[in-house]
Amino acid sequence: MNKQAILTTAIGGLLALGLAGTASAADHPMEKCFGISKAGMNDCSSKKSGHSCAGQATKNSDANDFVSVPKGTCNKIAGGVLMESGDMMMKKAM
Amino acid sequence: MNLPANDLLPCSAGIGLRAPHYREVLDTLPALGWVEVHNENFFGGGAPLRTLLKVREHYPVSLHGVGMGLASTAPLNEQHLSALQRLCDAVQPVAISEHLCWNSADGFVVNDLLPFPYTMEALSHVARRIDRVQEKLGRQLLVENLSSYLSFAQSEMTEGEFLAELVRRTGCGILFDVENLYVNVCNLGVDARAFIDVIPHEAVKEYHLAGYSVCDGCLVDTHNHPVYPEVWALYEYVLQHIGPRPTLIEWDSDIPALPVLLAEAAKAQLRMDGCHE
Amino acid sequence: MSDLNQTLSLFARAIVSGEAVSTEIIAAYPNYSCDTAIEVYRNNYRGNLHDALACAYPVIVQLVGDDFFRFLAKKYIEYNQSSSTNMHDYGAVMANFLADFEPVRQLPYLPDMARLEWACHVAYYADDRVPLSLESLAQIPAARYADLVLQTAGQVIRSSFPVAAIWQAHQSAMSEDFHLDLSDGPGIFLVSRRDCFVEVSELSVSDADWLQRIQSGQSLGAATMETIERYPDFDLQAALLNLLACAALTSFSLETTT
Repeated sequence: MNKQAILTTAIGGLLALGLAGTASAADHPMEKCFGISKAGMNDCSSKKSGHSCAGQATKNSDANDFVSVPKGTCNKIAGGVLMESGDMMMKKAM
Repeated sequence: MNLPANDLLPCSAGIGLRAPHYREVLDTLPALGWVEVHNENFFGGGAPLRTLLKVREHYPVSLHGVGMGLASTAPLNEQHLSALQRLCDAVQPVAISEHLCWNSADGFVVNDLLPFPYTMEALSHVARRIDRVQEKLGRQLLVENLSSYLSFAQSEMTEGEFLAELVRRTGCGILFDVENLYVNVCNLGVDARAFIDVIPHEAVKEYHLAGYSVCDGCLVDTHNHPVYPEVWALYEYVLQHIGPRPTLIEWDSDIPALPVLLAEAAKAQLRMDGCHE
Repeated sequence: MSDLNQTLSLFARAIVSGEAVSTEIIAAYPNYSCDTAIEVYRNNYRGNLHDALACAYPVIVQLVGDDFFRFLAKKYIEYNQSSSTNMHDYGAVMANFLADFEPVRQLPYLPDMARLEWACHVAYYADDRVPLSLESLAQIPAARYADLVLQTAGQVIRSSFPVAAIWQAHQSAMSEDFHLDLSDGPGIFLVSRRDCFVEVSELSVSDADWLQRIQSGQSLGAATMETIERYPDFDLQAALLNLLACAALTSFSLETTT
């Protein structure tokens, strides 16, 4: 098929199906569709998260530097760890 | 400037509406005078704006900004202002407010509400920026007093005097955050009565109430707690001296179940109802 | 520099860069010292940016756990100052940061996951777009189809890992119980938004090749012929309908013929 024929057929099809309303997302065959919702992050309060108080901040920030091995759902993914985790005891990187 | 006033805000209690409560509020439509949201979370379209417009079908909405930086020395962000104007056009808010604070200067952006010295230089600077915002939006801006953890040696006036002068120069209104004043009384030794006496009462269009935390002797404005008895007492004093105004309960972290928040709003409503101006 | 700007600049440096506090700030308060106050502001700065990152990268938070994410965010914030007063803009270079971040070297798919999540984040907060008007397209004579320049709203993500499947397994509606294998292989994904919904859909190699040509500004004729040369099975109509269904076709213009 030459270029013009390819374009005419494809756009013709797009217009026919689109204008007829049949090209809706509902019958979209290959789609993985998930709604996500986020809480907006702009707010006017001071933070409690992480370290709450000034005095604790110094103490906690030291402690946090030793929390250096990922400990979440990554453990469930087979083949996800390419290196032996013994190497990964993180030095204090400050 | 002759600006339409914000008298659309109903003189009743409202809540700061946050994401965890969107669905429940829309499903149950609790009896509430009005709600307030943070502008910047609705800059853009999609789910946030769609949700807010649904809320707007049932409640008056007040738009409360956290990112404009009225006292910033970085140029006023015209894109931010245009986004706010688009949001106003879509939502038709009953009030628009911003904080008396800064968040960007000299190439730095600090995403927080920061205090600054109350000098004549700052007064002209902030007044010019409020003029620009009001001109762009074509309506009155309410300016909120700030909770602060420190103060500046060069201040030439109090925050209350600064706000009063802003009202005189720009015709802006005042959003009086009673908890912020209480925080400043404890942290900085601010004189609450002097603040209440010096601000023009007719310019006060809205009150805020919230809970704070105490960290190493410093009251931190965390909005994660019911309103404390001391703040209720100050609110009652304010009601007697300034009069009832639309009053908002703010709760931004450790957000409770909706009925808890509504119960706080009901407590404010009770005090407003018991107050005879 | 004005006095006010000077004062704010010093205050910002004390918060962001940990510099000494200016003498303009009053040193003692009834119940605490100035150091305490500055530490509260530093804490707020970090806390706000941490929360912004957690909002933009919810799957990475789950993958590495809250404690490690706090550590990771702290390092990110150290090297990446905020540059926007809208918190939703913070975190754009997470993928590059993770690629060089030694403690996650054993999770090689993490940078691609960051790219995917940032694309979702940007799509979520993007302005509403009016979809392409098919009525206007119908006015274009067929002889000019080759000169059409299409504007699209989706972002193509290529990964050597099955990041879309990992992402899917972490959406709240999904079961906590999942079994995935990194050897499930590479993928190409389109992140787009239809109404309120951010969608991640798979793209074939040929569709991705064509779409990236279109997104680089090539005309429909040139992009299509070059894709067909590489992938003879490429189906233009299916690719167009796919974009239409994702609401990723937004507008078009005509390239002026020379």
